[in-house]
Amino acid sequence: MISSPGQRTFFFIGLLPLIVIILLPYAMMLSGALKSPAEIVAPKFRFIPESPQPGNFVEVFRAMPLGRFFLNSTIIAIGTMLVVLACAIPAAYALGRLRFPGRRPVLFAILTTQMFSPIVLIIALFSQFTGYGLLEGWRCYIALIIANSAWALAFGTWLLTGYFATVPREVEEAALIDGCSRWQALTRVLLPICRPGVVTTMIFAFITAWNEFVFALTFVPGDQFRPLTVAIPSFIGQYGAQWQLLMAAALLATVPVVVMFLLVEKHLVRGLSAGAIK
Amino acid sequence: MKQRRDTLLALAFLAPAALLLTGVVFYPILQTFYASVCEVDRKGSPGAFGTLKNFHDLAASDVFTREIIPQTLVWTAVVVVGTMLISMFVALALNEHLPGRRLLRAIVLLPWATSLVITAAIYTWMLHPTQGPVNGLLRAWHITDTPPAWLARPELAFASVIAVGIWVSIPFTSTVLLAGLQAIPDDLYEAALIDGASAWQRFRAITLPLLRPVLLVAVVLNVIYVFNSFPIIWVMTEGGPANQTHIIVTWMYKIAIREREFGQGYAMAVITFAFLLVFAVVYSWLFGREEVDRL
Repeated sequence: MISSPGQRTFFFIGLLPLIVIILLPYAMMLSGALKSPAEIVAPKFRFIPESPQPGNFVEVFRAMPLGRFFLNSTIIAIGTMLVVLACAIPAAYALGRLRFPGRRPVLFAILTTQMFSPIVLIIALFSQFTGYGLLEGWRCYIALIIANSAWALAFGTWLLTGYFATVPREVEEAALIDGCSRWQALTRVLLPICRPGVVTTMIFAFITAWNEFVFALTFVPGDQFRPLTVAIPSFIGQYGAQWQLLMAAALLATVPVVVMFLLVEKHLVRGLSAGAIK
Repeated sequence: MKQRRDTLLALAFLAPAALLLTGVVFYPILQTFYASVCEVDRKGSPGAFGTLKNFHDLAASDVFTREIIPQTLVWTAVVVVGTMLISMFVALALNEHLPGRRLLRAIVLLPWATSLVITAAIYTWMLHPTQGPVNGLLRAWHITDTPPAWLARPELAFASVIAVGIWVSIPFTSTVLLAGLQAIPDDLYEAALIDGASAWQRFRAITLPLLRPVLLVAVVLNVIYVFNSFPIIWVMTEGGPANQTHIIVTWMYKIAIREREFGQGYAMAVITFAFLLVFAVVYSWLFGREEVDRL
């Protein structure tokens, strides 16, 4: 867009307060995570802690079973990632590469699932999963992985279909003529070419599951199976005014996904905004 | 022959995805509609079919009709309008060649990568009446010695969750709008500049009309997301004080999952579907007309 220096200054000055507002909670989280138990409850707030306590990040693992919560989140997120890959890759291949009747309605049906929110279906899922005995003990992992996968599947399939479509058919046909099966052509030729798409889908599925709340809140039977998203807000009451530990836990839970997000940001954003614009 | 083989292969390849979506999305939708007109037991399983009792119970509830529904509409309208206005500005700004543009874009995306729950937990601490940084700053900067208990007073609590709702919606919305802005060809602006159009005139005559389809999509998606938004309110206020920050989905969760009144819960889920469906139809009607106009 072409614009005068005056306009650019106007936008820049207007954007700055918004950037500050976006960064403020993160700055306060970091500041809070480094404060001593005495300073965190002081009536006046200072951004720079008087004596920074990096030990809080170790202390928090002793004060609460944070390691276990990380493990739970990781199991659920990796499980979701694998299920999404196993379902989305073949589905995207069928939709992007094979000619069959009903292709458009199927694509449409998959994309419509994104319009539903987990919260509206939570009651039906709760009663069903209870019936299957999935909400007892470690089996809640299965319930969470299945539910999270279904909600990450539409975007994964959409993204991969788009990537597969960019690869010329000739590349694959050459492999078929050389004696590859369809399956080999997919795994040995198409997937390596579409690696950014596969990685983006994996990370998207991981982040979706890692950040998910409603399913975890509803399906998890006991403390030891809680992922971070359920465990962290429950500290608010449980651990009294130990905000410095809460913020340390929040920061530790946030950093891995923010890093992952920034790694694939370009691919992810392109996929998501293309989905919204087309 | 090849066509038939492709069809069989496609069936096999689509089977896992179809199974997953049927089990977790499509079947639960049917169950929700079916159970909403059944008597439902305390485990959430539908029993005798053919009753409107669940909807009658809801309609008879003063809290639901006089508080939850109006609050849901205010929440959705204010968050969506606020998000659209701020995101429009952010998108226009990020579309300029500003210094540090890449960094600015990454910062704007940050809330998107953060779990809503973590965001809500940080804000809960920030707004704590005696130990929170917001009041801590108000005291430190001598703005007031008796800052308010943000999440304990209904109107302030509602304003707070709305502000956080807007805060988390900006990244997605401004990204969609920015992609729309980047699709507008530069020569249109150049031509307008030669004709002596002011910045405001260019915005009114070029940007807004060309961005209209994207604006519509952004509004619709936001309405869907915000209407269904659960974690922020649940973590920050759990609908309180005195139910004054509940919206339909948080109320539904409380009634169904916490209080085991599954029948009313199913009825609320159906009402939510109905609202979003009506909204989607109105939207596609608007959008369809738009397409016709352009031809």
